[in-house]
Amino acid sequence: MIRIDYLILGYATVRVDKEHITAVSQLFLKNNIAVRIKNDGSFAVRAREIRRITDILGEIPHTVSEIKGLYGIWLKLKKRYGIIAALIVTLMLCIASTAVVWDVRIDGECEDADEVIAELEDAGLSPGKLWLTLDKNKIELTALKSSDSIAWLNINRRGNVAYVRVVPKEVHNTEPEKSGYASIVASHDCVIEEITVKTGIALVKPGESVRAGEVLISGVIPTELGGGYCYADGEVKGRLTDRISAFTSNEVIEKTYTDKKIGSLSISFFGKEINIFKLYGNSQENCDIIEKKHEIELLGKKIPIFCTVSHVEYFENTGVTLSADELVALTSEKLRHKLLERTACADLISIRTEGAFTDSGYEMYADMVVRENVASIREFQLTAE
Amino acid sequence: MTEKNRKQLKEIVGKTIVQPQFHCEIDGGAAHTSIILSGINSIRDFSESAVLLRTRGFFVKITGKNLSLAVYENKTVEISGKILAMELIYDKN
Repeated sequence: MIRIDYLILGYATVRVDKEHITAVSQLFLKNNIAVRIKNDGSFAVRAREIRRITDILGEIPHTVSEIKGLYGIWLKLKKRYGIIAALIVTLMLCIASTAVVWDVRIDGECEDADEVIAELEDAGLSPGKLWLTLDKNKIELTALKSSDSIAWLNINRRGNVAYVRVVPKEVHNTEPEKSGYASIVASHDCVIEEITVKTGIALVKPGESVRAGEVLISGVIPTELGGGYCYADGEVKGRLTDRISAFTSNEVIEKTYTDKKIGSLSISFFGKEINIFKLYGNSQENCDIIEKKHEIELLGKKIPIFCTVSHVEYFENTGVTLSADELVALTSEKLRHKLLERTACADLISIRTEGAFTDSGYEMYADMVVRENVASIREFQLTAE
Repeated sequence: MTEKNRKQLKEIVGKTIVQPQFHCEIDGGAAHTSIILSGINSIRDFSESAVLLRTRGFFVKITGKNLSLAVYENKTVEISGKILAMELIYDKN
């Protein structure tokens, strides 16, 4: 096996007779030359050491082959300018040809492949475009937004061809049939404001007060209307009162950052992560590890070379006593979040908020009147008697 | 420092080149073994079936089949092949 530096920098094979191997190896040992001699008496020497080796060998009969390796090829072609120019032009053509999208193909089954390819072309992906200028994520998002028939899209590059995997949208025009029987009951104590019946018999009218669990739309059809049972369906809106509360304690634990040190540095080069150094272990207590990614932009495009720096910020947990204003502000914020959650699917009609200081903190509560859907499905089964 | 002392210092520095001691490392299995020997003063004989090396105080004789020889810097030699035996022959002289 020839060494890689010999292959690149050039080498020659020197051959001596078998009977001279002992004398030759003794000479190399004495002159501190590293050489591996094969059984047939041949050994490889670097191109620049050929003269020194032949001087050392002296009178010992030996043959030296022509210089091999890349350097040897270079020496042969040195005066053949046409071949060198052709090699350079070929290399440039190969590099240039890999920079361009040759084709866009749909991967997997797709009914409207032409339509998808047209949408991708509108989004910026088509044969002839430069790979470096393409933003894959942006093209996928643009194509998805503009298409009515695609549910999911992914672009993969294999060589110079873009393979696009498409999952089409499935449209369901009919609702699944409900089996069995059910009635609609009230989910909360409320006053009925609006009732719409799709299937079943309404047992309440707008303006009536109902208790939680009371049947609003029955799945049992009375005999005078034909009898039988059904899966009741409809919408019932009711007005109800509710209370939400929030509490903040006087004493809170606060983080105080005490020290900040650089923790690790790594560089990502075309998707390959190179770890420069990492100064912390995998488990660290009382510290936050903040990682920042520094990206590089070239001509308005992000290039796939960026460095990630992480800092270790040490902190101490200290108990802090909040002032009255801080307590009120924090509790109000908590209550506001709870109110937003509660009224996400309900209409707020009125609200009254109150707060009070206690020994341990501050409590706020809000009594509100909301209008929301109070219909709840309760299924039932017929038992044979 | 006088000129005489400086010359004496140069001689002392010149004479304190450390000679590598004999050291042997054997690696490999039954079919192919590699022996690296340090502190070799000379290679007395080499053939495909036997090698005779001289170190300070004794000879090293290695016998086997398909032996090959590699010479490294600082008086180190590697013998590889199917090694059958290695003998240390002490110089009675």
